[in-house]
Amino acid sequence: MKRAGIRLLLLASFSWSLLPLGGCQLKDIDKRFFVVSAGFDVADNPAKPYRVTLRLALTSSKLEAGASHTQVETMDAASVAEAVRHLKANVDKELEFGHCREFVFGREMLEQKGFQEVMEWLARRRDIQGVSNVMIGDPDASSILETKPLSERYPGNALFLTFGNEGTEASDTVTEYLFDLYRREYETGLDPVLPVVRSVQHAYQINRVALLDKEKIRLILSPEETQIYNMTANDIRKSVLAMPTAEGRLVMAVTKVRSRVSVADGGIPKVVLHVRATGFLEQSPPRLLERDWDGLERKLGRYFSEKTVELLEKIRDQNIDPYGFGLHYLANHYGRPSTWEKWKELYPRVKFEVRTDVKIQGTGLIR
Amino acid sequence: MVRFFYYHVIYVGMMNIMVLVPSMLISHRFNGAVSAMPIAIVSGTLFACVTSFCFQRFPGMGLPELYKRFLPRWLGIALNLLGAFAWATGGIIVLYSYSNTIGLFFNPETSPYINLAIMSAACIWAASRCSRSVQFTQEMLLILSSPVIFWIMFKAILSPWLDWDAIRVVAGRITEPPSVVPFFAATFVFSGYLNVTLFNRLTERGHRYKHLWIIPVFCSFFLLVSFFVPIGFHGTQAVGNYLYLWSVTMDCLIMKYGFIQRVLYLFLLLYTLLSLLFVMNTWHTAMEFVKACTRRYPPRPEQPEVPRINWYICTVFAVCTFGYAYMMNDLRNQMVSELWLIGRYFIELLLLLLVILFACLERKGVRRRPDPRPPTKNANGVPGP
Amino acid sequence: MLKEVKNKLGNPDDLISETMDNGYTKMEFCFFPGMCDINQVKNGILVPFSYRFDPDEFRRMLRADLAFIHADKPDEWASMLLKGCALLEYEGEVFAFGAVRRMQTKPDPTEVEASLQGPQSAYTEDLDLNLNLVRTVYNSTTLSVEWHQKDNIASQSRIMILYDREKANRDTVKEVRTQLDKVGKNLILGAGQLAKLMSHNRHRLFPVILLTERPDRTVMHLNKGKIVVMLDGSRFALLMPVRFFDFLSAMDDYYEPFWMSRFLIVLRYISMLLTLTLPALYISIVSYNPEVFRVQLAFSIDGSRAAVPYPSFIEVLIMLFMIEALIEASIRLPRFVGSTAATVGGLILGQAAQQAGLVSSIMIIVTSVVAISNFVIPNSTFSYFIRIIKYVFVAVSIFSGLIGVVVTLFMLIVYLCNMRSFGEPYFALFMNAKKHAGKDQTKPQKAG
Repeated sequence: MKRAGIRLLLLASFSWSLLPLGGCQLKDIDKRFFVVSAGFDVADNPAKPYRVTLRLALTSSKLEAGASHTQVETMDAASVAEAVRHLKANVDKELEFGHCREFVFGREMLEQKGFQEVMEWLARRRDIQGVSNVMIGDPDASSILETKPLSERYPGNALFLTFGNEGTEASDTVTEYLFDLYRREYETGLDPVLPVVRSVQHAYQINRVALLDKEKIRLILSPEETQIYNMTANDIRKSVLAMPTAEGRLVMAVTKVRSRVSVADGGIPKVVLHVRATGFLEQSPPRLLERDWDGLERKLGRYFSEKTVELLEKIRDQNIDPYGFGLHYLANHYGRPSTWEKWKELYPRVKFEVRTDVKIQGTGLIR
Repeated sequence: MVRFFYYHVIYVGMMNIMVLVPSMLISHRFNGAVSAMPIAIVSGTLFACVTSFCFQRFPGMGLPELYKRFLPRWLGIALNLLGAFAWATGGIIVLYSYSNTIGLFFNPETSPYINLAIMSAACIWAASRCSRSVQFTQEMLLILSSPVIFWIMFKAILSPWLDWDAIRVVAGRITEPPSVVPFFAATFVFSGYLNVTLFNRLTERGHRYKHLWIIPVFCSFFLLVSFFVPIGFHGTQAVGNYLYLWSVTMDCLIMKYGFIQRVLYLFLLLYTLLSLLFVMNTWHTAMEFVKACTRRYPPRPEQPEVPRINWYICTVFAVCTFGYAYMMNDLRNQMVSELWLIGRYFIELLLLLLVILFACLERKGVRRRPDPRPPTKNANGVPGP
Repeated sequence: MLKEVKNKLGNPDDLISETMDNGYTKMEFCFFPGMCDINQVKNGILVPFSYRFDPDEFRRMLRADLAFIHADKPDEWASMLLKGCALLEYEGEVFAFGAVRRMQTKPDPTEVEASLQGPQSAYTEDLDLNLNLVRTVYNSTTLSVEWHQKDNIASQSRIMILYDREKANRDTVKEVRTQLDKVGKNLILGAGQLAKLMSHNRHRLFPVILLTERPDRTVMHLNKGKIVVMLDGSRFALLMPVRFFDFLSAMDDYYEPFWMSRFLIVLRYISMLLTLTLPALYISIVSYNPEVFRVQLAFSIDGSRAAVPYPSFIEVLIMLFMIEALIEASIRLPRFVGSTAATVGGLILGQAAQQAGLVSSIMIIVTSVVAISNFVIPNSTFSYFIRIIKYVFVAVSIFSGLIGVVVTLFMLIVYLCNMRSFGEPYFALFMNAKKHAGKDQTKPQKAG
């Protein structure tokens, strides 16, 4: 009995000693400000070159379309980390980055300074998710953050749903995650890509992709090129393959794409891209397919191949490699360092061949 | 009861992530880690199979009983203490690094000692139970957590973001000559069999370690996964920049429809259980080894009332953990765990030689002392009918 | 005789004691009318003694009839009277006539462990009837029934130990007997009390003895080699040794289709986990780790907590207190008022508290999920224990959030794995297969 009493006393004193230690860490959810998206721009002031914009969620218990409220805060500082520290003085609650899944780089910043320093901060923070979406804001990040989309149900979800086919599945939206950007930043033979977001009235438009070297933007593709890039590099479904014909435009809705890269060796390596697209016709001049099914498939394939080769050559001429042809080449040669030197030298002269295999499953409901 | 043996094999295989095996391997990824791995697979399998095969000859006896049987008393005590030291430090390293990881990802504002205090309290409590209870706990937790861990592993392997080209680039470096440190690190994955040194006490007469093929199959799988999956997600270059390698790798996965969206948190919560399990096992083994040094505590695998000495010994381990945490930081901890992994390999080698020696002596009938346990007692410590 | 008895009992007023004279001979006769069946007394003693008196026959009846016991020890007279015997002294010899008044003549309907498709009869408060129920279903020659006599119990309740001689483990039976001997209390009123006294450790967090009112459950456990203790005057039998999993199985699991019963078992385990951890998880999410769960959840909790003036754990404690009080109130109240209490408490108060901004609406849901999942647990003793352990989780989560909850879960599993119920593991998987194998080995030895 006595021993039990002593044990109880010990236990009680132990738990009471924990109380001051643990109690002060308790921070209730209503004392925290959830950051839903963050933007990084350059500022004019040379002493404080970074402008950080945060979009903070003002939550309410009602969830209706258009009922989401947010607050946007901006701060200039010498570095991103300092800017975030200073921003805390502007708000009444603790900033919480745990649910922040959109990071927007200003286009100007990427053209002038590159994204390395911001990346350092993003990769170092423990509470920033590796699966956050990263993108370029055109013309700058703060304009994207200040957009208030009408359809938003809870703060920040409109932008978030656009990516990664969680909501809409658009064929010209490239999804890029933070961890992948970090990988591409350092990888040999694989260069970063970032989607470009523009704000159009009360909505976002994300239909272009920027291709970067290890630091800065080298090339921004047009929406058509972006779609081709997305189909060949990311196997994005639900895209369209359009071709003008003598009788009118032919549009095929693609339901499945598979692409495979092989690099043929030789004096100058030849990159062969095999694409297999399956789909059905969504728009076509009447009874066109009936006449020559195989021929039409071949024609579509050839047309797509030509377009793709054009794009690949355009990318190659900028000496960037978003597809990872270099990495593939290295993998074929056991990753020897000498191979990498050789590839770097040869890449500007690399030849491309695209073999597209189109398969039309049907013509829809009418002939 | 051969399944208990394989529980240990499998969970130690999964635990390699927490004793920083992958980061040691990855820091040598371009100079000899890949070629060290097949050698480690062969050596680890060999060690595991031979040791457990030899232990079959001594049903119901742990390593301390074997020392008592064949070796002079002072040597037995020295070896017991060496074993206890090796086990306890393993537990301490894992406890420290895991409480650090937890502190970083879950309670960054909390003092790291609070996490350590909570976890070491749980470990004292768990490790001081009797061997049979420890085994039951082991089984229960492993059955609860391993399906989800396997699911996460396969989700990672099948993820479209896993870059197989990067994996192929690194795997191509198999032509480099193997280097030593990654070899020692990689053999850790196979060390689960070491628990046979204590838990063989619970085996019954006529017990056989069947299905030994499980060891190479599962452990090689864990080794390859824990090395190549981070490379696949972070590429050949960026992977070297990360400190908390596997936590960051798990952060690349997302459960779109899950209640917890970031796989990282699920992974950390599951590995909390596994780490506690590891510390429980190592401390329990170390405690039994220390107890075996005196004559006052004969081995009793079934003893639901916990003797006081158990509490005292485990509390000493916990105090050591606090001392360790006070002296260490991330980098030093990495160094110490490297040393521990290397030292452990030599202890395994010593154990292998000793056990072979014991088995030979047993066959010839040479022993210093008669069988300490009467033959009618069966494994559970319950008198036979 | 009458004088001695009266002296011993302190001359109670409810004792009928007469010296009867039928004209031929005399008989001293006493009994408690409250304890005895008056019809039996009349038919067994009064009619043969008065209307149809025949000295030879009467003497023969006293000697041969099973209802009459020769009571020649004056010490036992008082206790026999108290148990419901009628005493009579005829021709200098004392006899006891067993005429205990039976309140129950048929099995009760099940109340606590209701079943949809299984048998509907439950134990009564009469031990003989209960034994009848068991014997009827478990009609086996190997069933042992032992009367456990205890002298130091004032209430003198009869205690019976039942087990299958071939299947039960002898050591366990011995262990049960020693535990019964150790019971020091001299007034045992219910089976639950006996179970509490028989458990090794008063501070245990989980029950090691299963109480049941169902004969079919008893018999199933007897068949598994378990030991049953029955107490006169209690509607419940004690089953031991039991395992953790026995508390979460309902008898319907054996009567329902396979997939349905599996589904229900899984449902129960999930409910148990929910009722244990949900309040603690709420505190962890709100106060420590809002980033762990999905963003929608964090935002809706944040929105609904906007008006709540105090920290999360006070909110949780208030709501848990309310729900516990509500449950307690509705058990003790008469049935008609009980449903009113539930309505008042559950609907009106919950709604009003949320609208007044005293608690968040998510917390109301948490509370009701906790309460409902607690009711899913089929065994009431076990669900009491779960209700208590929930607070341990709450306490830990106040200090260390989500990690504390996981570590506590680990400690709970260690605790369960270290428990033994009468020497057998309490929380170990796959033990049945091993036990059967062990039995096959030991059987021939027992036979020989």
